Amino acid sequence: MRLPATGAVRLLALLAAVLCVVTLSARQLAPLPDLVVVVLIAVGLRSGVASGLGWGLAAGWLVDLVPPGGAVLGLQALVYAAAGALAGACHRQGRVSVAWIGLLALVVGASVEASHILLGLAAGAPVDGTASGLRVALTASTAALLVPVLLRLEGLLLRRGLA
Amino acid sequence: MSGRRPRRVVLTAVILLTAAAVLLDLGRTGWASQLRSAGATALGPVISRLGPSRDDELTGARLTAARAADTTRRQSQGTAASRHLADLLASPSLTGARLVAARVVAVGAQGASGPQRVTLDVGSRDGVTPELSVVTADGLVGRTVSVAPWTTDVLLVGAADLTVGVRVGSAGDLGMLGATSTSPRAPRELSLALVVQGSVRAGDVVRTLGSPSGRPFVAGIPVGVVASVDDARGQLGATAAVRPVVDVTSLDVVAILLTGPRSTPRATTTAGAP
Repeated sequence: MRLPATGAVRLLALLAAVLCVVTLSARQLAPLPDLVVVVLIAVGLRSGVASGLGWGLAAGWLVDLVPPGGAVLGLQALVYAAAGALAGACHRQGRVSVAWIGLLALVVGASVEASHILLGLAAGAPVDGTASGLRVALTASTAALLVPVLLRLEGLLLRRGLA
Repeated sequence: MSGRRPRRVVLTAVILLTAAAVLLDLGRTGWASQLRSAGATALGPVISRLGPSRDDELTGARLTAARAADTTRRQSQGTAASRHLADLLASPSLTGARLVAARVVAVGAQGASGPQRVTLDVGSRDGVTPELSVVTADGLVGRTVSVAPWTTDVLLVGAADLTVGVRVGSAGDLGMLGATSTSPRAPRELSLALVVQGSVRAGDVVRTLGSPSGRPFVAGIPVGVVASVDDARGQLGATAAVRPVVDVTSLDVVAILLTGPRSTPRATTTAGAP
């Protein structure tokens, strides 16, 4: 079965997002935006809840498997599946304003950070609210810049019949 | 509409399988380590290439602190990695230790408590195995948990599932050091719980107690400094907040201590002999 071009582009985008985050952090660039959330917002806005949820699962598994990986295998898959579904719930036909993308990224990014904070608190570990807040703000700003580009790319693939 | 039902069934099945995977990993069944190894084997070389550039001094070499001390004295300038390596090898607590120098090439997705795991650019082909101490010139970074041919994952001090047996201060009181605590802590502060009532004070240095055969922790490595002592009313042993000596958010060059079981028998002696 041939993988549609959009599927391949999404998979590559998610892989690139995960690799960017783990390798840029090693260069002591922090905090970084959650690039996985940025890609999931593009997927959810374009394709709806089911696609957002499915690609969120895939993204979370990548986060867990790309070294050094997550503490508990599969947990990030569930967190990002919920994020993808949330992004997909805001699926719209036609053009989407940058402000709406930024707001959606703020909500989805905050939900992912809230999941991480809850997991940290459940383990009894101290949490850094300031870093989390900064990460959410960076994610929203990055999504406002990158999501329109990703949406245009998918639109181009659709018009050329590659999707 | 008919196309949506199979997709929903597949998604539901995948979600349930993922939830089962989480439960299995929490139950420490061991299956997860194989999957992580597969991921590390496949993607480790990519991450090593994308990570910070490697210096010749770090290329898979096993160095002894004694031999490399001459090299560090001749080095007056160099890259940041060279300087970190020089500091590492000149560290008094590492004198005579066999170690593999490595560079951090990936940092795990940061939770609300900060980074929990990092990946180093050395692996089993460099002599690294699981359950080894990872250190910098300042002190303990963590322990190796998952080793692929070319990369190694390290569980950092401050991770929720890492607890270290320690000795505190000049008296050497025994305690356990970890990230989890029932008392409020500042971000990245660790929690110390003494085994029995002791005389811990702010400013006391906390060092590793050590493990059998030095695995995973070699004895005597600095881990942190006591920042404040909790009110001990109603508690069996004193608890305190500890500030780690190593800032895990700015790791660069580290060393993996190659330890193994003792191979020479300990000499016996007679009590009371002059």
